[in-house]
Amino acid sequence: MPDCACANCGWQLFLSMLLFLVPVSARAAVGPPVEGRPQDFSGAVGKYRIEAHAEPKTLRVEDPLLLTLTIKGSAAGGQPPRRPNLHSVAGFDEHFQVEDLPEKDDRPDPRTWRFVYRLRPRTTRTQKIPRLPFVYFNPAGTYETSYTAAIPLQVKSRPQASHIKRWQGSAAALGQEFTLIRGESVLKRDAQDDLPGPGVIALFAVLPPLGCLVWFQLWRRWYPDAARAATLRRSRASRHALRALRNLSRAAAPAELGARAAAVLGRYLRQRLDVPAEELTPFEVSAHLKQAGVSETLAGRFADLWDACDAARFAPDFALTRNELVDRAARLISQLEAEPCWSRASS
Amino acid sequence: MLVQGLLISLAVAAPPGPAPRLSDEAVLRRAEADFQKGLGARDTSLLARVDFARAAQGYQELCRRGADNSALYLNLGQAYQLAGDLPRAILAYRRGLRRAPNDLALRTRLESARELVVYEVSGGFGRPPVEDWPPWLPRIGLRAQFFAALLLYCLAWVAFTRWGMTHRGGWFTLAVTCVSSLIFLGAGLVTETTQRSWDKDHPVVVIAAPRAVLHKGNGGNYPCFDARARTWVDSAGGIPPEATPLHRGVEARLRFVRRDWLQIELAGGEIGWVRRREVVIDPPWDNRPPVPIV
Repeated sequence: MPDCACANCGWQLFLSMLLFLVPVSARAAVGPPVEGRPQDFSGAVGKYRIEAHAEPKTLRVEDPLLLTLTIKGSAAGGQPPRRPNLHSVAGFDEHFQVEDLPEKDDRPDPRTWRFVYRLRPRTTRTQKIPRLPFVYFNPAGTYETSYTAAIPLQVKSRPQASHIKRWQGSAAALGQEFTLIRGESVLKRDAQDDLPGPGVIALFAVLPPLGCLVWFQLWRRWYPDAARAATLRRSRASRHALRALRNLSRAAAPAELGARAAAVLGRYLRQRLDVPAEELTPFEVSAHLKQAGVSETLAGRFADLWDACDAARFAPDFALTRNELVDRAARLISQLEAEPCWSRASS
Repeated sequence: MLVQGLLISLAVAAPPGPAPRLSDEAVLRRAEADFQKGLGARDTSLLARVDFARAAQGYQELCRRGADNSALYLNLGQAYQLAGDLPRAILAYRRGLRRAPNDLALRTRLESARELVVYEVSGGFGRPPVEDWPPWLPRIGLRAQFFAALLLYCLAWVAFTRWGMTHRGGWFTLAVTCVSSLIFLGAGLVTETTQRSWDKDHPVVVIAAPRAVLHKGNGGNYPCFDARARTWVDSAGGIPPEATPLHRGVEARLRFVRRDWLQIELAGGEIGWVRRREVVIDPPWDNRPPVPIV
């Protein structure tokens, strides 16, 4: 109680007593408090429950369905519920085109409000009508929210919906997208990208080997030495001998050079002519070659080469140089391989 | 839609009586003019469609007269697409790509046309075949492959001959490399030729009816295909609701023809029968007479 007894303080006391005496429901009729009011508050004051019903639940894209929201409860002397605004529900507009149908709204009884909407699902991705909130003010002093249950939908594609894009943009844009190719090139007849006929394919298959065969024969006629060298390379023993001769070290001493050259030639003759493995003299070499059918001249040259090798081994002062020795040996091997009497018989 | 189609048909129909035959150049000029007119009349889509349909008719006439190139099929497909005839547009693009497999414009247009096709169910049912050819890798024509193989064949023989002459290992290696490449290329050639032969025997079919249904046999009373359950549904009392329709633009391959029924195979391997009037297909299977142009 205020200590002061002036007129102002008395008036304030009177007002506070009056406020204390006014029933709670009457206070609520004045309006819900602004403080703590949710953004999606419907304006309804009382105790409510909301339900939703949709028909049909199976439809095609952009086909209509009727959504009925039924709000039941007591206004309790406060504000009755207003039509819920579905556009304010997050994401609702992305999935549905919403059309309010206030003329279909209904009040079957004083405690029930029905609001009707026409919805059109925009895409086949729309699979349900989501839970819709209804926020009201409970006269007990709190804001409360009632939700509908989500309604599953089956939205099918629409056969005619998207066959042709709507005319969009300017004629220039359309012309840019659908570029027309002009001119005489449109009239031409391109060659078929097919394989040639079987006759042509057979001709192409036969010509290269025939051409190569003719080329090979001509080459043999025009370059007999090269042909002989090629034949020589075919003999594995001669190939190995020639390679071993080429690999003789330039830095080797004449004695070593002679010994190794004689060894290479001896191995070659053993492989080609079955000459005994023992160390051969020039005379024995000549005799074995003649026995094998090699001409006397060539056998004599082999004997001379053997002499040269022996000279290199035992009298280095009179020895041939490495290149001379290798060249002579290679030439003799080549001549021996070219001898017709036995060279074709073994390889 | 029906009224629009009727109007377009009437608009492109030929007037009665004989008319002088236009030259190819004149038909081309008229088709180009119709196409341009259609672009200009975009605000009134029905009129524009009539113009595009006329343009398509002109290009089709050029095809009938023997013109055969990718540019023509691109123009034809675009005109059909803008005229609202998606199935024929897809067919034209595919014909063009058969002619020029590397044509990027045709490929892009085909992709965009395929995006407009409606598929009833998710999954692969009715969808076009997935191409596993890398987009950056150009396709080599059959003739080019053949000449590449011929070059390798000749080179292999030359290398073998040189090896016979010189017995140098390098020639032998080259010859073996050529033969290996030749085998690889030859296998590709055989595969490509087989595929082309199959394509020739099984031409592309595009569904043109709004809701075509696959039947098990060549008759309306045969069971219909339910793609969701992957079963055939009895259709003695009419098309059952479970039957999965194929919409306009769905591509398939022709297998057999039996009077007015065609057996088709979808890319997913589903095989069934549809009515001939429900599809568009290349000649000679499409035996409908061409619309005359004057």
